Amino acid sequence: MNESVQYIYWIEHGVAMGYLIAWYLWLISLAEGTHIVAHLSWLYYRTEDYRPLEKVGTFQPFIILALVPLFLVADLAHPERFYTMFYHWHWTSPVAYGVYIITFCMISYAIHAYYLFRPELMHRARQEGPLQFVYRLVVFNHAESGGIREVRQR
Amino acid sequence: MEKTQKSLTRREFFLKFGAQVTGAGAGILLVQESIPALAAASPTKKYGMVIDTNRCIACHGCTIACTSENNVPDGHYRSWVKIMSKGKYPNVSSHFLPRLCNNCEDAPCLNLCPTGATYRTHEDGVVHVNREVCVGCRICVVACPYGSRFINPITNTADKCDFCYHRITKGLKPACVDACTGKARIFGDLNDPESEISHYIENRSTQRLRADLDTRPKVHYVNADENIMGPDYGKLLGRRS
Repeated sequence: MNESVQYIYWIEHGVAMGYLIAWYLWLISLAEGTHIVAHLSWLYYRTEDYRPLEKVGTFQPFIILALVPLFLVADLAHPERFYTMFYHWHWTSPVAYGVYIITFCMISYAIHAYYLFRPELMHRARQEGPLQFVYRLVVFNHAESGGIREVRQR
Repeated sequence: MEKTQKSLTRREFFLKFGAQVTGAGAGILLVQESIPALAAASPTKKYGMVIDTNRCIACHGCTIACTSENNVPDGHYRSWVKIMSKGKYPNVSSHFLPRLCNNCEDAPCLNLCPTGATYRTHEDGVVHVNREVCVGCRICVVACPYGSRFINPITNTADKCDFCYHRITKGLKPACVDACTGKARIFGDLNDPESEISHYIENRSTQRLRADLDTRPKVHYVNADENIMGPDYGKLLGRRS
């Protein structure tokens, strides 16, 4: 095995992951980190002081996760075919799971953010203004009485 | 009359949510199993190849024939010949290893394809790429331990050797087999005990590339040097080792 060996000709087809994947990894780590830290602070201490942190921690990952799939789609050789990953699902592929995990994460963050901001939305739905119709629509016309904190306590 | 509001406890919510997710998962699995191309099945034929390195003279006829037959873009190869020299002057020997996709029985590229664009035919076990479904995520190129896959710059999809499927389904041999000067390549059905390839394997000791990975390649080599059969560390070692 210690003989001198020299490769004269061969072919390499390997590819390196692009910078878009590096961006994706950084952004998704940022999103999840923000989400976890913000929620743990509220779950552990449960004081109104941490409420703004929780709000940021809910909204920011949602925005980041809305951007992340764009990086992944742009990295594909056929970006226009990305939607086929939803119905041509191959259960042995981790990438196929990732598509659904990111989608479900975005949906769950959106639902969580909605219920977190719902008392404020209800409060605004009661106030006269050009956007009152929109706020009423968002809270399904359930403009409950009382202040924001009272609504949240219910 | 007081309006009653139906409330849902957290436990009830998670129970209902869990039941729905389980139901949806079971439904997806049933749909997947109903697709015959993805369902695990033992093919009636098992196409494979034996390459006798004693007969290879590194003329690259197989490379040219493959490129011409399959319209492979410049700079990319479905089939090629790896060349290595061994020893020190005056005791130097040259070794050649014709390479192509091994169409593995347990192909990592097939398992990792997120859309199922890479599939194995039920009839003969050849691994194909469906160009209409491939999204070009490159995961198969990274996954292939043999470096046999590449992204075709014309179609922007994964590409690889499929034993010239358009030829073998018409009873012809792959282009590289027909073009081989020294008749080093023998192609046929490994499941047929009377085929030339089965007799060749039966009468000789054969090796397979990276057998330690348990991918069960269907390309066998006769009398190939152990150094040339090993993994390619050329790039790491500055094209020398």
